[in-house]
Amino acid sequence: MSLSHVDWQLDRFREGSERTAIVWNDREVSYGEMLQRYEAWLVRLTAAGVTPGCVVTVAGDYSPASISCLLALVQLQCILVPLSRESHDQHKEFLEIAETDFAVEIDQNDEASIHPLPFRKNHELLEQLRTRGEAGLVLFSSGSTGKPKAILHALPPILEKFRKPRHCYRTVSFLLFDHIGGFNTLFYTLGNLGCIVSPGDRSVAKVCRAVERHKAELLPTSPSFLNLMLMAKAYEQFDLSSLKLITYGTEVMPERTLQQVHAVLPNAKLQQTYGLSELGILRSKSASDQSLMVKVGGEDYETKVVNGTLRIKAKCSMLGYLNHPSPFDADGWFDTGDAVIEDGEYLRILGRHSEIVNVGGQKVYPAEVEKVIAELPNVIDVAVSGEPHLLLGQVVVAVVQLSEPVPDLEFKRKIAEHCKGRLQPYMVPTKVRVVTGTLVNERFKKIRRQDKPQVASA
Amino acid sequence: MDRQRLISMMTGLLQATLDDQNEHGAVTATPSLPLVGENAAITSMRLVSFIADLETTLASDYGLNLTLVSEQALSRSKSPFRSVDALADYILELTGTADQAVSAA
Repeated sequence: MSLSHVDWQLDRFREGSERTAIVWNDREVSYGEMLQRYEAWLVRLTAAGVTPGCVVTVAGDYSPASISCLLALVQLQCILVPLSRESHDQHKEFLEIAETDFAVEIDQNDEASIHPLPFRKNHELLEQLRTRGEAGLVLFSSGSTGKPKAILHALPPILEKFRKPRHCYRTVSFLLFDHIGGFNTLFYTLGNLGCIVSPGDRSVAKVCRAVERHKAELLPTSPSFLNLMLMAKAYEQFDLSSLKLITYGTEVMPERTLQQVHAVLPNAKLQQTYGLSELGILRSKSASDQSLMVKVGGEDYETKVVNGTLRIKAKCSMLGYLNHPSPFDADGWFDTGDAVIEDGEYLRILGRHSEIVNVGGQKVYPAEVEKVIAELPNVIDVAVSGEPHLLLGQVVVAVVQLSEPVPDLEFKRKIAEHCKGRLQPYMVPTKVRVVTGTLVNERFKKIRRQDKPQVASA
Repeated sequence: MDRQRLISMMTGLLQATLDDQNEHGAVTATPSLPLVGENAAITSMRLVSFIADLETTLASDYGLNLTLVSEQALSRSKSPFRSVDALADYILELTGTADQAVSAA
């Protein structure tokens, strides 16, 4: 590569030095100031002993300090590991798995500290990057299926794609700092001299207030967050008319939510995204604002459907896991585990294959059942999952959050009545639990699994 | 545990299941109505649902956390799920109150 990505990026910063790079704590920070911060980081990291090939964790959120630190680490050809404050309880484990040499911690006031650590064990994949003199990126899977997996990418091919000019947006940094979608949003925005609007925490009020106050145009989010926003009628309290584009991914979108968002924010285009930490974010195109059919792929990806499950081959997929065997088959295909229905070039994503409930040999997609239950009045949210059953293998269980709680059995009858003619009998929940707390975790994803705590605190 | 009260509660739950399956009141729940086999009044899915309702009610109203569908239940020569009567006896047996119930009867 003739010009490193960071050198290219810095040239862009100079071109747009007067423009706002990030709004953090309601303060606008220009690209010119980010350039100065980046240079200060280069000096500080080098003085602390950070050299090419070092694994450096950066714990924080999107802020002037964290973003300029990431850029400096890329330039120093380090292997960076962004960590969010939300995963704080797992940081010790992450530091060891990633074989961390230095930990950078950025506090709520954007003050940073650097600590050397003794965890290097010369993992073969990390050594490959060091030999090639390339920067790397380690992301941790959310661990919904067991122990978190440490995903290692070489950064040059990932960053290269952000040089292609695209739309410039004022974008809310909603997805967390350690999320592939968040990383993608950050470098997309910087590459196009857009503006990152950091909302502070991800509560509905904070995010919507950030949209209103800073005239944000792009909100990359999750269906669960949109559901909560609708429930709170936040669109009545805050002026969200600046939003031009709302992208949603990370989980299945309920049809009702999509239609309601379209109704209350008719000027915002709604686009489904699809990505995996192992493969990056694919380019995607929704069939329409109100459609759940999506075309995914792009020049760097090939897709195919095998036994109803999506498989993807990517040009710049991860190098591998640091703590797990390679998931790629001999030809380089990755089984996403996502159940899909094909319709020409478009796909409808039904959900994780592992979340499909098998009732006496019949498949039940949680999202299909959730869609029908969500139509009932009084329902704020619903999470459907399977529970082991001696006779049927599994039965369908619905955990329902209601605005006015009623006894479990009473609501089960209401659901059964409503499901008549809408769902097959085996899809109707055998068990219903009514809860008052939220069904969404700190990443605004629905909690479905039975072996995890059912309800996160509100 | 009072057998009559138990039977009455179970018959009420069964009636709700029957009403959900058929037209309201088309079939009347009785303690001897067959729940399994050729003449079963409800489908197997409804039976599973009825048993789940029963477990929920036993937990919420009686403080009993019972798993009624078990290897033990399925391995019996006569199914404890064949009627409300039989199922009530099985529940009393599981809770160790069958003797008292019989002597009280």
